[in-house]
Amino acid sequence: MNPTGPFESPLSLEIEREGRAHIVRLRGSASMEQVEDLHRRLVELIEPAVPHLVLELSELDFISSPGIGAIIAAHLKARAHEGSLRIVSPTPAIAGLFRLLRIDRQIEIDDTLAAARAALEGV
Amino acid sequence: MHFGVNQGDLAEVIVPNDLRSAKQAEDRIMAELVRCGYDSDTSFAIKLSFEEAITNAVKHGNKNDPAKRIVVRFQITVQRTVIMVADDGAGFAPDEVPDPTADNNLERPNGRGIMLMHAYMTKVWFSETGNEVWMLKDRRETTP
Repeated sequence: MNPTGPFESPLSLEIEREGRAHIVRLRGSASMEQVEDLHRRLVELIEPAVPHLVLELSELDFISSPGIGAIIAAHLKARAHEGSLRIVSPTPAIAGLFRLLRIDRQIEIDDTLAAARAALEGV
Repeated sequence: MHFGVNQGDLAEVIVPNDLRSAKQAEDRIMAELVRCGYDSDTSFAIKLSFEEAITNAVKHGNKNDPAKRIVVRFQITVQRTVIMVADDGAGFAPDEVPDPTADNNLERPNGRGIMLMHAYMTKVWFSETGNEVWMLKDRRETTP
């Protein structure tokens, strides 16, 4: 555990476009004071020409329900544009949170980025 | 007095009604968790529950009104953590919040906070008016 305190790394997004999808690697902690910006940034990425979004979460160490609300908002927008949102490699703590809230019933969760890419081939 | 804690033994932080200001209270709580040697999973559970309570207070209790305030009180020991969050709002009925895991609620933008507090903390207690919540985490309890 970080000796200066857990879950203190600021949230960062690394965004790459691959065809009709954006791959977003989230790093750090999606703490409450950063979620409004996260919501806006994720939703802005969804557009008719790029309706798919992949969120790579292996380096995201914290998220609370407003952050999950941001993911769901992006998921709904993607679906409205006949696209999709996939989640990749959440940490065990966050995967447990998704299972508890049944997020895994509405959003596909892949073990690897390769698996997510394979699922999006040809879209 | 709740969960056996005397009011005089609680640290208190009063913050303006916004999430960035409430971070000061969170930082103090997280620092105490480190000092008391809490593990990552338990710290996650406490941070999550605290943020859910604060978000509810800011947005639903105080209706995003910058003139209102939030009171946080807490006591952290090596055995357990007690946190209280109170807002200036009119209150609500926690029992009337719909189940966020019901099929027709899965895509709602909000409504998950209270369920998460109950799932991740050992005990959760709301005042009769609903604008004050007390949460207890027994460090020996495993997280979901």
